[in-house]
Amino acid sequence: MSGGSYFTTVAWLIRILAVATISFGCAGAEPASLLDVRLGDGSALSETVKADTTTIVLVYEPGMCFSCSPMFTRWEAAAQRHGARLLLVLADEPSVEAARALRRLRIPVAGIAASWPKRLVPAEYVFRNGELVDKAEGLIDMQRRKLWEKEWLRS
Amino acid sequence: MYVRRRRAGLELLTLIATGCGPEKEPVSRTVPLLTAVDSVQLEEDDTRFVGEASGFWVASDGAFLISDRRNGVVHVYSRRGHHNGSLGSRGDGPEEWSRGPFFVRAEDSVLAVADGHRFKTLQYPSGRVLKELQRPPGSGFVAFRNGDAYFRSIDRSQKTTFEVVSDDGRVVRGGAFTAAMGRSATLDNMFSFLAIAPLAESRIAIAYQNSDFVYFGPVSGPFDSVAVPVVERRGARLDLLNAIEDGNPQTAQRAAYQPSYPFLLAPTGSDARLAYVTIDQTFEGNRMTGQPFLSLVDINASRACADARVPGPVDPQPWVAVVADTLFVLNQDEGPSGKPRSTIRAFLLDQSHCWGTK
Repeated sequence: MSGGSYFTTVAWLIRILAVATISFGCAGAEPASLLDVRLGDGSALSETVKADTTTIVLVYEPGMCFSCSPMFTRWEAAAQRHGARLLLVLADEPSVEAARALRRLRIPVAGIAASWPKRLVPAEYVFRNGELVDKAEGLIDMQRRKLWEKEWLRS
Repeated sequence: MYVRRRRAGLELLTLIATGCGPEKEPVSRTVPLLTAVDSVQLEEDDTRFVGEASGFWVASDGAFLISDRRNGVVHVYSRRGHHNGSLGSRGDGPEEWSRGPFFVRAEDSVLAVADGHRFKTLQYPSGRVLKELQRPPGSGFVAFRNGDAYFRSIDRSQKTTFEVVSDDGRVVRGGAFTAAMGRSATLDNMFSFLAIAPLAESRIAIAYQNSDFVYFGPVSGPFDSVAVPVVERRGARLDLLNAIEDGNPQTAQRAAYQPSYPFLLAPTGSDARLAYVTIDQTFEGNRMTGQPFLSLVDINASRACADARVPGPVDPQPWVAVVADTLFVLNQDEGPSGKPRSTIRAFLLDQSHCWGTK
């Protein structure tokens, strides 16, 4: 085996191993339903979204810069304009500093969805009468779909 | 011999390139004394609160003006911390803030506020919009005096660093490149933030992120300079800045948030003596933290009294304003019960500690 082909073979083995690791890693992260997330008051998210209003559920990372990114504030404005309920669910337990920043910004956290797949975060879900009517998962999808501008927000 | 000649040549080249005049050696290394004279906790509840301070100044009537980009308003607080209302709201309309509000300055009954690429002047206290300008990206509003608005504006071909837009719309370019500038576009664009203190008779003082000097002179130049010794602050970090290579983003990444940021340059009662506040920032992902340092600069005597650590919480970064001989510091932290609170502390700038006389 020449030196060149040896390194080519090793490189391929490494690639195969990497792909296998990624595949198995993802297979193990099958999400429970977002609606199973328990809110701060102990109720399940599924109960809350059943109400006869539009409910927007944002699943964001706790370390996100809520004040420098328009992501949260534009939803806040849209929810206020259209009388929709806005719930922020964090994709992880916030650090002490992140929790303090959220308190300073007076952004209430509805719950923690630690088991929600990270590849779907950030994500935005719109429920009406308990039914999921629209969603955007990941930054690119969110920017492309601009759910906060949609007409269905009008309750 | 060759090395010495080459070094002398480099020094000459640097001098020519800067256009800012000779950078003199520091004279004084005394630290300024800050004496706490007042502390006011701002009136806040869940509907009226300072979320994310993005600008801070003291109006001519003594009110505290706080830009708050979380809530999309400029809060007006009385000297005793009472919430006297707010100016604007979030939106794209004339009396609304689309991205800010950010940097705020006030002069008599006029408020000047940056809002992303927009710049507005407002009637104070009514909040009625007087004028609105669209500014190019990277052009930050930095100072306001006599109706003239000063903007950071780096022009690499002309080697100028700011623009002054007069009340009548006239635009004048000014400033000169520091020794660090001109070599790298990355450095010029990313590490050339500046603070300007407009002075009487169309003179200014100016401080750059990439220099440990304060420059002063007529708006159109030429400029003289005073060294501000790096005692405790990080300083310009020329070791990192001079290593920046265009086309090698890692070199710029290494320097990001490392140099002290020029936060404020303002006269302390007389145009000859200036307060220069820098801040050593750290970006923590969801907020900026930062320790401010105050230096006093005597431009007539070419001396500086550097790096008093401004007391108070540094997470999130505080905001500062100077009125005559008083430094006002806006801090945000949590009270003993864990409730968020905003506090403005006032410190007397004791100059006698620096140079023996007031």
